Amino acid sequence: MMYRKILLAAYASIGFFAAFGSQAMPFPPLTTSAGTVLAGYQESDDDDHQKELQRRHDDDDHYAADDCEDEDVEACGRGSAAQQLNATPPNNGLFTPGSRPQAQTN
Amino acid sequence: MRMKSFLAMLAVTTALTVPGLAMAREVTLTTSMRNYGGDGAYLAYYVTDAQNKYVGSLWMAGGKTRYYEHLSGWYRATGGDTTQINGITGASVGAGRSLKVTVDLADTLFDAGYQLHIDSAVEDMRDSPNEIVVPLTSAGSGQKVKGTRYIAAFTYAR
Repeated sequence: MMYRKILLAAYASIGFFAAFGSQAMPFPPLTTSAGTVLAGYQESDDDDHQKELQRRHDDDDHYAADDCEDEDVEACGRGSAAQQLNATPPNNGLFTPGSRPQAQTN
Repeated sequence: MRMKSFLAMLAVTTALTVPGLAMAREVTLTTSMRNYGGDGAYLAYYVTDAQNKYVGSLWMAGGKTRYYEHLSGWYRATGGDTTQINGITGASVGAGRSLKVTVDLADTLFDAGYQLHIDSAVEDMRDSPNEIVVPLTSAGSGQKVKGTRYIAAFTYAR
């Protein structure tokens, strides 16, 4: 009888934790390490930033769309894999609630 | 009596848990770029339904909003609304490189007429809307699809 109770308790515990497990997601990173960038960023389009970029590109009259060329080089992972840990995705019905997409460039 | 109610509760818990585990699955989208000889490519990943109506975005590779209009399929569908890609935006993808995006998607997206689109664009080169259009099906998982301009190959695997 005692053995059955323990078995049932164990089974109930598994069921209980599995419910949480179905919504499980990785812990958010506490720090960013080399080669890891936080995605979900939007560039600043403020005036100062625009002017600075204009100055930077007036010399050769060329403006690069390549993020790797004039911004966060590590995000592009040149020479090594770069992992991008993103923020919470939009609630558009495509993503599992609570999940966090990940991207890696090689 | 107590045992019976306990078993009933257990049955309910299990019944609620199992469908939850089966409803979502991790899907990996792998995109390999050609050596097209240009700057990093902007890529917009989005889903349309069986009526070709925009449902939502899965990923945006490229962070400068002023270039989004060159991803014309996505831009037309969203009006350039950046809230559609909040939290799912990363860096552009260089020529010859590959991007692997892993997302947890609802199982209901598969075998239900949904299509995954990828628009691509590279500065000073021709835009390539709908470079990849692939139906989301169980059978299509792991199948390589060739792009028409900048994308060498694309696969999704679940």
